[in-house]
Amino acid sequence: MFIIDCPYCGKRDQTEFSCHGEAHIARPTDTQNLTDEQWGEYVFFRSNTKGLHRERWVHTHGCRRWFNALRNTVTDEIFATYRVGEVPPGAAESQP
Amino acid sequence: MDNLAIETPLNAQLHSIEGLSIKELPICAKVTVRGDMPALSAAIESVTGLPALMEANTCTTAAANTLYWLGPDERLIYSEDPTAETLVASLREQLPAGQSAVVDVSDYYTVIQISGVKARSVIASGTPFDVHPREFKPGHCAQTRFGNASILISCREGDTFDIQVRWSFAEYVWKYLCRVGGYV
Ligand SMILES: [Zn+2]
Repeated sequence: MFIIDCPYCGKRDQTEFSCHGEAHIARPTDTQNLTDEQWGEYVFFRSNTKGLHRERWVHTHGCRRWFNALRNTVTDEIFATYRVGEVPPGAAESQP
Repeated sequence: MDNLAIETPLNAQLHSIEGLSIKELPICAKVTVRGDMPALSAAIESVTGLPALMEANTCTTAAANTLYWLGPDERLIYSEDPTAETLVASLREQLPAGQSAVVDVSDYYTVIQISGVKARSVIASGTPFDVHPREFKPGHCAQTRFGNASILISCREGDTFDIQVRWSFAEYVWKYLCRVGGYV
């Protein structure tokens, strides 16, 4: 069991949350002209990071808001949580 | 429809043992409101007289209305009015159409009130949320989990708590609370 810091509610038990995979994946804008391969890339392919991973979480049993978390996929340690639209902590490169 | 036998899912049952009382409260009007601040808080304040720019996970009562924080852009209003019609209409009048949502959820939820010296221990048996009096005080509320049910719990005073639960989960939560009450 671990505690997750919801950016809106504060610290809550893990079982109130659910995780929905990698964050900061921008939906393609030019959808009319995408090839099947490009669609497949957007829908199915993820970075499968070992280490620090930015991912989307939702406070399912709480405020029902989506937010992002920076988690180490090896140790399960969550280093930060931040609201959608906020700059990820420690992000050097620009994110979509 | 006025001959419906059941008005609330638990039929206003009461369970009482030493140090613990659990009862289903009579039905009241419940309305959820979503929209952008500050238009949302202004509308709620003008209709209910309650300050809607509130701290997260708190609730406040004045006259016949109680206001709950549900999210940064979402509030829940309880009213002692027999129906939510007037409340819904006056809120919709105040809010920008197409950019807000006012929904009557009166019959979607019911409220179980649990009180007594054993109440906090009974609640703690089913939720990971910290209900210790040092943390959870009158005027506080929280959406959390009780067993497998999503609940909204609020501290009314000292050892009295309101648990709002979906109609379809009411019996589950009720039986859970009563059963645990026998062991605490
Ligand atoms: Zn939350």
